[in-house]
Order: sequence, then structure tokens, then C-alpha cells
Amino acid sequence: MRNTITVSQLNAYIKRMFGKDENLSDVLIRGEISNFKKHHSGHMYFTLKDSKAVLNCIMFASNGFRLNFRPENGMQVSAAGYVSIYEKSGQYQLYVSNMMAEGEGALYARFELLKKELEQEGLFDEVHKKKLPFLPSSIGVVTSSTGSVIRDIINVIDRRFPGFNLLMYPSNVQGKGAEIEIAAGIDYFNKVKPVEIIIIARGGGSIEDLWPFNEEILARAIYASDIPVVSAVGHETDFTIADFVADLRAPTPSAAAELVVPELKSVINKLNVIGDRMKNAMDNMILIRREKLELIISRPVMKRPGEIFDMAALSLDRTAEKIGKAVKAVIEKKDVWFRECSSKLEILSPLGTLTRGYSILSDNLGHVITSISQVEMGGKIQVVIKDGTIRGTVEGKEDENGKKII
Amino acid sequence: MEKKSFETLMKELEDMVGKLENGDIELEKALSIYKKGISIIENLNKKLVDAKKQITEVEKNE
Repeated sequence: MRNTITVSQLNAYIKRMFGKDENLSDVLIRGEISNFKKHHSGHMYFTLKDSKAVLNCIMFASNGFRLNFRPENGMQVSAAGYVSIYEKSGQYQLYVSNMMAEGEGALYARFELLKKELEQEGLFDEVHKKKLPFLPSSIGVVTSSTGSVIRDIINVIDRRFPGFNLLMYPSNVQGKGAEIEIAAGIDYFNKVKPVEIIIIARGGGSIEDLWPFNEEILARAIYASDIPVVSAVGHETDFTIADFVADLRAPTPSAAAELVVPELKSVINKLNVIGDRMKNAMDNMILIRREKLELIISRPVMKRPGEIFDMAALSLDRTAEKIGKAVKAVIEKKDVWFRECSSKLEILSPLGTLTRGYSILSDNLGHVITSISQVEMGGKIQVVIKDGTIRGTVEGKEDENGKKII
Repeated sequence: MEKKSFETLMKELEDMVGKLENGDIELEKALSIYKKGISIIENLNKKLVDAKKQITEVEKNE
């Protein structure tokens, strides 16, 4: 006869049994996610299944934050945790502490997911990409110190520009933690030994091999770099997240070397060409001006410059002549006038009058007598004539009508 | 001139040559542009020649 127990008692019992079993306290289950549901609380409910059976799973939000991928239906995963029973429902389930996506399909899914996320955040935006300097003063390469990648890069750079300044930061480029090393290399070239271009490079491989270049840590390190980063990962057709974030993507490491360093010969040639163009332009300018000058010099007036002076002298002479003639004419006119005046003066001059026979009558004191009233009978008078003086005495006088007064 | 990048200086050279080839400037100004241009070219040539050979593996513990 069995004891009757309650449902709760049975479920509690089973829970205790599960708890005692060491095997169930730490399991790793492989399966495919289905019926995935994430509540607002952040707790995740789903089932793991294989071809024959299903298992209920729950992952609390406190564990869920640790996930490095977003769980989706159809994903193949490995889930770690413990198995126990939820007493209330009588259902046993896997309490998941951590999960890992497995297989290439899962990797591609993770890749697409992260790519979408970062693209939406703007990490791939063209406007954020920095232009590469034409002639960088130095270049930093983050890559494995062994292998052909670094050798190829050195060879290409040396061929294009012998004597170029190249620094190498050795780093793992695959396996766990490689993304942290590469990010450290980028940080190094930003902060410790600044270069003008950074190249992160590795050879070809599977998606797992290239995985560090798909990691978010590396993507953010590339985005945060103040120095332009060139990604040179794998084969021509592979694209990693680093390629999208980088300022420039090169299909191969050798291609990266070609893109970052100019060919010394062509740069020198460019400078020579510009130098020649300058010299020619300068020569041409001088030639044009010389020709203009020659034209001016060859003008007739420049050949006989004296002509101008001669013409001026001629003109001056003519003018001088005119002036001379004019002055002469004036002088002559004055001369004539002068002579006329002279003759007039002579005629009017008392001395001239005397020459003609007139005389000047005056008393014996020299006063000139102009009226008969000025003399009396017997008065003494003088007469000045042409050649001397005659003295006399008044014997009588008459007025102009002939009437005798004395 | 040390601060200006190679590309900036190349662009300045192109502008200068353009002005000289145009010919529409005074002789004295042209001569001054020419002298400056030749000086920039000499400077750039020197930069190319001075590049030192150094392929260095970096010490991580620096």
C-alpha cells in the first residue's frame, strides 16, 4: 500500500532529487532554439530541440546580459546551466546560465546581426571616414610577426618607395582575444607612437579564422581611432566588419601597401613636370614683354630721336624771328614818333624861335616884357636875339592899333 | 611650410603654375610667384630624399 502524497509533495521531492544529482547541476546541452520568447523583464523562455525530443529552457535576464549573440529560432547553440523542476507547473527545465552559438550558420547570423547593429549606429558612415594623407610620414602595421603578410607589405612598400618609415605592432590575428590585441595595436599607434596611417592585416582563412575582425571591440577601436585605419583582411571576396568600419578597405595586404604609399618615381616626376611648366611660363612671360619692347624701340621716332629736338628748334627759331620783327616794328614806330616830337619841340622851343629871327624882350632885370604897359619912356630894355643881347632905351610906344601913347 | 601637407603644397603649386601660364599678371608679381614655387618644389624634393629606412618591430612594453 502506497502512501498518498500531494502533488506539491511529489514535485518538491522530485526537485530535491534533481538537486542531489551532481550530473544535473552543471550540464552543457547542444540543440536548436525554438519557440523563443523574450519578456519585458528580460527573461528568456525557449525550447531546445534535436531531431527526437525537446527541452524547456529559461534564461534569466541577469544571465542573459552575458550573451555575445542574440538568440533566434533555428540557431544551433550550446547551453550551460542546471536542470531543475518548477514545482508549480511540475515541469522540469534547463536553467541556462550561459549560451554559445555554434557552427558557421550561427557565425554568419551573428555577423549579420552585428553588422546591422553597427550600421544603424553609424559606424560605417562615409562622412566619418578619414582621408588618407598622400605622403604619410610613417605607417603602422598591426599584424602577425610571422607569416607572409608582413613580408608582402614590406616588399611592396620598399619597391614603390625605397627607404620608407614603417613600424610593426606584432599581434595575434586569429583565435580568442586576438581582437583585443589588434585593438591595442591601434591604440598604441594613436597614443604611444603616432603614425599617419594604420594598417590592420591578416591573410585569408575561414570565417572562424577571420572572426576577430568581426568582433565589436575591434570595430569600436577602429571607429575611435583618430588616425586613418586601413583594413587588409583575407581574400579579395571576404568582408569583415572591420572592413566596413575602416577608413579604407584593401582586398589584400599587398593591395593595402600599394594604396598607402605613393610611387616615389611618379612623385618626383610630377614635381619635375610642375617645375618645367613654371620655368616655361616664366620664360614666356619675359619673351612677350621683350617683344613688346622691341616693337616700341623699332618705331621711327626711336630711330631718330634728335628729330624731335630739331623740329622744336626750328619752331623756336621761327617764333624768335617773329618776335624780333615785332619788336623792331615797335621800335621804329616809337622812333618816328620820337622824331616827330623832337621836331615839334624844336619848333616850339624858344631857342628855335630865336633862330628864325624872333627876339625876347626883357627889362634890365631880366623880366620878360609882354605888354607895352611894362615899359616907360626912357626905360632900359634888353633884347635877346639869336646870337646875343642888345641893350636899349624906350623911345616911345604904341598900342596895337597904332595909336601913339608916348 | 613644414606644417602643410604634401597634397596642400602640390595644390598650391598647381595654382601658381596656372597663374603664370595665364600670363595676365605683372612681371614683378610673376617673378615673386615663380621664386616661391621653385622654393616649394625644392622643399618637397628634399622631403622625399630625406625619408629614412626604418622597419621597426615595436616593443609592446613601452
